[in-house]
Amino acid sequence: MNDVVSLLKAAQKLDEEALTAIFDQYAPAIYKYTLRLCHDPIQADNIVGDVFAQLLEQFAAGKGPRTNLRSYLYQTAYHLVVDRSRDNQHTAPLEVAVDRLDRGQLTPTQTQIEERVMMEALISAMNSELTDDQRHVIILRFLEDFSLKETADIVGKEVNNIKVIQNRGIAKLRKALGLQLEEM
Amino acid sequence: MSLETSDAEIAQIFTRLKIGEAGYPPRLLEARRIEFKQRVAEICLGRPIVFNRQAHSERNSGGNRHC
Repeated sequence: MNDVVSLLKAAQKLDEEALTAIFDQYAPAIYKYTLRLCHDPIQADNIVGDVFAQLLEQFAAGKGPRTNLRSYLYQTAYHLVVDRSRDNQHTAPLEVAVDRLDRGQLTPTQTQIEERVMMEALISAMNSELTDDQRHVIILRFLEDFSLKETADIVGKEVNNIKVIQNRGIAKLRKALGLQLEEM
Repeated sequence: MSLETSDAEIAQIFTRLKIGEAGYPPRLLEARRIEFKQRVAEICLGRPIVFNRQAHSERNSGGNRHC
């Protein structure tokens, strides 16, 4: 934790090494997170560029995060995705992950087949059943491992509100997955 | 596998998803890294120029601030 704090302090002073270290540490994660939300690799890449450009501008202006750099970066990415998603249609979501998991396996076991069906159902439900808020909260909580408080800070809502959004989202996923299995 | 999908099962599927997700394509990441480093260099180079201008104007107005 001290490393992150000292890195942040150095970055605030526009230390080149610290800024590059921050980019190296967080850019891949911000890309994944953004890709999960917008489903477009090019847009995700552009947003990564904008997130770090904004961070740099903030530091240069003597502003920017004083604590919790990770939440700050995710928050910036989240706002950029929300701003741009108004003009875009969601297309190919996390399916890539399912394909990658099974690549190279010629004879999947019964468990792997079941898992794959579940994953595809989960991805489909996330894209079709959840509201934008529910999807964002579930991604931040389950895929990015943020706490309720951090998630609340990133999406600009109260913790209690996040709990409600999360529970409703999970309930929808549970229902969608249950229905999917009944159809098998 | 039961018809009732528990939260634990959902969490487990998310964990599997995380493992399988595509990462940042190396070429794109490297291009962004270079771009970012250029911006950093521009800002770091830009700062002393601004400061020198301030110092210059302060010297002209009788200030004794040094770079």
